[in-house]
Amino acid sequence: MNRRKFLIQCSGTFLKASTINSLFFSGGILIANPISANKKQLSESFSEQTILFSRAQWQTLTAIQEHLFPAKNGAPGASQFNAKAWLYNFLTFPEINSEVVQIYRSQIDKVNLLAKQQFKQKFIQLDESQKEQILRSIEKNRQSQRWLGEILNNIIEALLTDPVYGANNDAIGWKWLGHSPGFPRPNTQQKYFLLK
Amino acid sequence: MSHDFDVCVIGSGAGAGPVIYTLAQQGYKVLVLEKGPWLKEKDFTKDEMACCLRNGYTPSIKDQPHVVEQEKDEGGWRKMSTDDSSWNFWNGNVVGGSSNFMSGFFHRLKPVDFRQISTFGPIEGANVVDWPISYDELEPYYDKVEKVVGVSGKVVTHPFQEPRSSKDFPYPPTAEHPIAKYIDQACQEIGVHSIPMPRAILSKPDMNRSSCSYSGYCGSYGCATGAKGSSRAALLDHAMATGNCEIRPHSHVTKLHSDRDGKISQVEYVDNQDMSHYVDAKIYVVACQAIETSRLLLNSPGPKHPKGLANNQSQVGKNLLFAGGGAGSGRLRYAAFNSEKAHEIAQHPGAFINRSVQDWYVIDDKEFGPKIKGGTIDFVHLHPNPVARASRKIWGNKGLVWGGELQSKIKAHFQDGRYIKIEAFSDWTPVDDCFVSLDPEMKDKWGKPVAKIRVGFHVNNLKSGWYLASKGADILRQMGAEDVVSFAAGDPPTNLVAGGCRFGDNPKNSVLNKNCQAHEVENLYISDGSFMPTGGSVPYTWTIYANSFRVADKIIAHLG
Repeated sequence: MNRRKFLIQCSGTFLKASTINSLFFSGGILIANPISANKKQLSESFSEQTILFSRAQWQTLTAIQEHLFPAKNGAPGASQFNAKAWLYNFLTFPEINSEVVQIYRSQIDKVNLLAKQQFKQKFIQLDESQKEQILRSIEKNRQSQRWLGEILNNIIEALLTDPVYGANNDAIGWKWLGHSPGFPRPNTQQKYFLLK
Repeated sequence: MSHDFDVCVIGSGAGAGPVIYTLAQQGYKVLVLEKGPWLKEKDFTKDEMACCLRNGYTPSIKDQPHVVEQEKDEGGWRKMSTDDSSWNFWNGNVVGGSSNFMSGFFHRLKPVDFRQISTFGPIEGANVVDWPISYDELEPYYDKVEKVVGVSGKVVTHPFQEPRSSKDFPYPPTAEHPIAKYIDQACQEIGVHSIPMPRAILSKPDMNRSSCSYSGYCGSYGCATGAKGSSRAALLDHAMATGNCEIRPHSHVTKLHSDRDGKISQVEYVDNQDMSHYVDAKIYVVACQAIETSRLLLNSPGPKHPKGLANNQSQVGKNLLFAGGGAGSGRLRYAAFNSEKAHEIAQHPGAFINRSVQDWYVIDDKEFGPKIKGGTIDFVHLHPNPVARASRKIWGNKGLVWGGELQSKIKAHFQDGRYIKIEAFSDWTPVDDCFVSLDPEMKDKWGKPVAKIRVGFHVNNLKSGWYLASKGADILRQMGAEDVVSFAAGDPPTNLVAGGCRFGDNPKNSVLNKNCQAHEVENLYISDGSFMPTGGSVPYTWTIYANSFRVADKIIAHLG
């Protein structure tokens, strides 16, 4: 299938959090539109490659996002501006980079391993200061620091890009900062991957 | 012999537009081959994802990589491809090229720029030369650009004002932000001359284009109103209206074929189905921006040019230029001023700051050293892109910043004051270690060797860049700005590039003659910034436009 067509079919659905949740409960399998996908493409999309993270790994990841950018002092929290769906988009569009996904998996597991070692609990069960301790601890490792930096960058994108891309819900990020976007703003036909 | 066209132009940006426009208007049949898509006003939105975060206007670096070589501290060269570092020199592959996305900060070169080695003497370890033409020969074309592309501004008296045939600009300055008058005041207090910065932006509707709408998102973005003087809006649309011009987007020229007489016989290009096509013309004009122009020539060996077209003297790709200089910034914190002034400063940065200082175009400061070429200081708004601005707060002195601390920093940045940026331009000294060649291993998706750009620089670039940036910082401090910083910048800015096929009278050390015709290839002209042997200490686009109009006249004389 032409990559552009595939994206257009997905772009309406893959950034709605509810859809993502239902995908995760089925093991995180990305389901191509069955009407236009042929048998070969369907079997490709069900392959190993398209399963990103387990449910537990996603829970850890979103807890990290929420810790890095909490709903606090008037600032919106990561879950309020679709940061999870944005990260999913980043890892799968235009195609899945399996090396990058593998790094994410091992970093997430590292976080939970350290939480278990230090506090005998999973990361999602820790309180704020314990979570802080774990993340600052892994930050001492350069690759982990880069990984956390990438998650942060991604959160900032979800916070402040144009809502047409599915995050920054109702411009919550722009409003928090009193930021004026430029005009004209893109409509759904003008997303960057439709330009060429 | 009959040809498909009179002139085939490869590229459609600032170097190509004037040639296309002039020849089409004079009745010649012009074909334009542009690698990228044809985006128009209706396609240009202020979308940070498109312009900047996801590179909507530049090619995929997986399909079209670059390789960069940077000098190591300990000597030797570190080679990085775009697989490693994503550092690339793509600026805009669309009809109209990167001129769609420029800020349009327009400055002319000055007479001294044409005579750098005569004026200052040689620089050790550098290849400075005089230009084979004088400022006076280019001046009528700078004037033409003001009228045809549309340059708005106001002429003021200052020590380095260059001679002008027109008393003032054809369009009055674009609307100015209140910060501009505080810069004027600070300059007056210090005793330097504040210049309203000329812009390639219409301040009123004209020539079938609308005026600026002051959205505040100019540089890096395409213009939805047509006010910005891109090659496309200002020139190509008019060329199309003559009926003598055909523009083929998605047409990537892969080779210039040449015959045993050393003339180009035909151009080979691929379309977006990867099908090859051939076309021929009486005259060929290459204007792909400096790096890709040199690369195309190197990728086009022929029976009389085994080392690449027009490259028998091994000059193609050599003496590549970027812009030297420095940068800086300061912040006007609202709480530091009375409420009326704070309100003025807080005004949305839609109207421009548009101020420049050229008092140090030549630096003659006994404390600093012997007289050397200086340059231009521009004061501009900090670019408003929100993701870029907020992302910079992620890194602190002790590592990553996150949580409540990050949120406070971001909020303070956005809400506590306005930033003013200093952009200082000084000469990029031409050196042997700054050049374009073909990478021996890496190929693009069509199997062609990609450009390898070695970015060696001369320490001179840093000296004047540092000086100018620090002078800019003094002005900001005089205004009451806080957190003022300034620094020299050695790394090449990816969006200011020229040279590689310099013009000159001596075929042994230049690629083009003074008319920008290749010494070795009679039917080849190069009209983008490749022709420049030295850069001057201003952004290049006005000079590229002006020279391209000049070359257009030479081509018409050639065609007869």
